[in-house]
Amino acid sequence: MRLPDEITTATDQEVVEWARQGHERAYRELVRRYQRPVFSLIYRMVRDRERAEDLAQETFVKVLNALDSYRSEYKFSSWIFKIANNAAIDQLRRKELDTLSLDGAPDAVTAERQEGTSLQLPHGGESPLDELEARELGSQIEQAIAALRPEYRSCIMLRHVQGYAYEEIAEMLDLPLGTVKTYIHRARSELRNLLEQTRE
Amino acid sequence: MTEDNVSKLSPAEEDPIVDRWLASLPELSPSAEFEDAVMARVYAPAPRWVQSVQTATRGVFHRKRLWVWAGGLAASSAASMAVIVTLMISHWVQVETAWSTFLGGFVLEAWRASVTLIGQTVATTMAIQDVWGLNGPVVLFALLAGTAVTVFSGWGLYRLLTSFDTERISFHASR
Repeated sequence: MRLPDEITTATDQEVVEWARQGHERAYRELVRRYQRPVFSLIYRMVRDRERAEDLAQETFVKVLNALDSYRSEYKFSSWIFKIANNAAIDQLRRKELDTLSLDGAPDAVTAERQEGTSLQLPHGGESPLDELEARELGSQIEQAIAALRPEYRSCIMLRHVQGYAYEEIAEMLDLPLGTVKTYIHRARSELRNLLEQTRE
Repeated sequence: MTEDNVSKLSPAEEDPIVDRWLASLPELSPSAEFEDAVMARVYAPAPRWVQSVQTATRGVFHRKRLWVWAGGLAASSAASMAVIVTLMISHWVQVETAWSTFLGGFVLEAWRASVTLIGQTVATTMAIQDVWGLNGPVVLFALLAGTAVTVFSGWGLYRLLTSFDTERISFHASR
């Protein structure tokens, strides 16, 4: 079966079906669709660029090699974020990284390693002053998110960055709906406090 | 705040400033090599035609015993088919009589049509002679036995060739 030219506009379920038939383009399409959100989620959990990239790669390899077990009645995005989040949580449990450094990973001791693991915040071509302020605010938000407990962090990222409903997050993280709402509420309160303190 | 209280929060109780901060978070990109690095480790099912060829060739030719079985079944299937056709062509009168005895009217007409068709096609090229002189029931029995052997051999061959696991192949050599 040939792939239609409009593969980029097809639903996830359609692309998965083509991938199951062995079409490389369909696999690549799934990677292109989810590499940024998955990497963003994992990066903000583990806060080490190299490690985040490795974990994101592991996530995709695991998902794409197990497409036969994917059940199409569930959202593909929920499945991949669930695996990504689990990978990040496992990593955090192993390493217990708990401080964010925008200059690189907490265990980066050489300049090269710091550069390799540091967060590259994008900028939108504003004036140097605007850019500096935006980067400063971005940096403060990233630091505030990094200060949250990991379970708060994944909930707030999935809710406010990826835009998932509470119910979907509860399903992804295997948590009761009420717990997800509590986590998000507390995370927002803590974020506000942290950012207000920082900006004062 | 308890979970119940939080569950009852209305959208108005949410904090628009925090929403703005969170909305300003950029989506981050992995390195440019990310996609290729993932694809180098992905094993995908081979296209169906590739699987068929692999199954029919690699599976059989890499195992001597399977090759012998597959060859034997194919040969017996072909041989029984040849016997059936030969018997039908060379003894069509006896076969017709036997069919009429066992099955009667409608099947007989169908049988006649089939024999005419097959007979005209094969007889013109093979010119097989009526040399065996077997009676009708014997020919009919031989036909039924031949059909059974054909079906059994075909089924066995099919099961043999489809008994291997689905092949999964790597899109790319490891990098």
